[in-house]
Amino acid sequence: MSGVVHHLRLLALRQSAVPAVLLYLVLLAVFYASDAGPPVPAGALTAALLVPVSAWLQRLAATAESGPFADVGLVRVGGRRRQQLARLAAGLLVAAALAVVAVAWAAAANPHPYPVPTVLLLLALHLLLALAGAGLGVLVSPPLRVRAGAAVLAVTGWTLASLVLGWLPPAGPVLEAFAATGSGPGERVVAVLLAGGFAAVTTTAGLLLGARHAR
Amino acid sequence: MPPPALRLRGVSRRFGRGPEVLRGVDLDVEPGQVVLLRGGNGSGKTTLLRVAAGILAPDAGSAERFGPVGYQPQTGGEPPPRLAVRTWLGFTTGRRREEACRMLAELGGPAPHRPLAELSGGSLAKVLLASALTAGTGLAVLDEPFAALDAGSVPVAARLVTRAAERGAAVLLTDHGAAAADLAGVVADLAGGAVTASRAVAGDGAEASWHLLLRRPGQVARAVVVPARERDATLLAVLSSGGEVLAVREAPPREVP
Repeated sequence: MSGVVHHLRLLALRQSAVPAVLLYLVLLAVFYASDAGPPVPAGALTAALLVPVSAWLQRLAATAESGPFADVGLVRVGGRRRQQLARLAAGLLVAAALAVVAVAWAAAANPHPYPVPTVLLLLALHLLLALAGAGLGVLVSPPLRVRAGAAVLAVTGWTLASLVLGWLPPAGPVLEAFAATGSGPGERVVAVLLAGGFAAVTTTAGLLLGARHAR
Repeated sequence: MPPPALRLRGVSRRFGRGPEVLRGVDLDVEPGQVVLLRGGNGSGKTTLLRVAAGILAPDAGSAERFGPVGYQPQTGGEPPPRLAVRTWLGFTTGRRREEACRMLAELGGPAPHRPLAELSGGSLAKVLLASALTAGTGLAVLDEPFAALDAGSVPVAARLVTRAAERGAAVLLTDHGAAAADLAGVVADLAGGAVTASRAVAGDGAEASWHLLLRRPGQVARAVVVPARERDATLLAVLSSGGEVLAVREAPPREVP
């Protein structure tokens, strides 16, 4: 727990975390400046936009301390696996807060009714894609040695491809199922499973590869 | 017989496809003991300390630690931005933060409100030492703790290390200076990634040390290591204050093949 609080504090103290948060808030402001349409399609899009932001936050959490200080932190939390999980949790908590803001913003600014089931569905979608973004972020963050430029290219490229290609998780199937007209419950379930699977596979792979690389 | 605070058995370690940095290292560090690792540059001292602290996993063998661990790395690297000394000590030492701040003051270290990123190398070394000694109530692993300190601070730092050991912490350290040799109860020589010799010493390296298990009135039992010349005085002081002597054992010089 102290590790999560520590990494949250490091994120809060890092100026470079501000642009990630501000960018998402600006996107929300622009998107909901006028009628964004029915709640679920609009919410699916803002959830998809959370993917690169969440990945960015993961990278920031993983690079907030380095060298001797990261080593002392590792000893303090009781091992590399715990340190990785603490960083993951810290980045995810900030992304989750953004998810809550996104849904609240939508309910407040979008001139459509937001019944409780819709709010809960949108919250779940945002959290799911925040988790998927975190998985993507773990794959391009220390202890894996990925340069900042390559990390930006990888995350941006994957996100754009996923937005364009409807079959490419995590965002593509979610947008196809929740934002496109004519999709049924079956497609929605598949989309959620694909995004969840993407999150599980990328996060697990990132943690395992990171632990192996750092040995 | 209590377990050692650190038990290394057959520890080997290499990086990538390079040569073995550590080869079959066996080492025990008991509570109250100060063990000095000696060896030239590149002999594997820092790698052994990182394995001991749990930062690196051994490729072969085992590293067991019993009790809370504190770690002082060599200074270098960039501290987290805008993080105050007190906040960082709160993370590394938990509820013992105030104790760490007091120790830092004793060392003549920086004010706790100052950001880590503004500190000099010597001040950072003091913060790292205070953190490691406070957090490491079971085992304190210190990588050249005196190297970055000014001459006036070294005796104070050495006294704090000794005090930590007297309180029952096992201390494993490496340092090239005389201060570390003076306070070590055991010296282990490391060459080519293997411990070539390990012997009990006291102070000037010529005198055997004694392991005492003492219980002072109203306190828990603690293991201490004292030079032979201080053994009788220590025992007398404990007994005359109403305390108990639970064990007295000489740590004879021994060679490790």
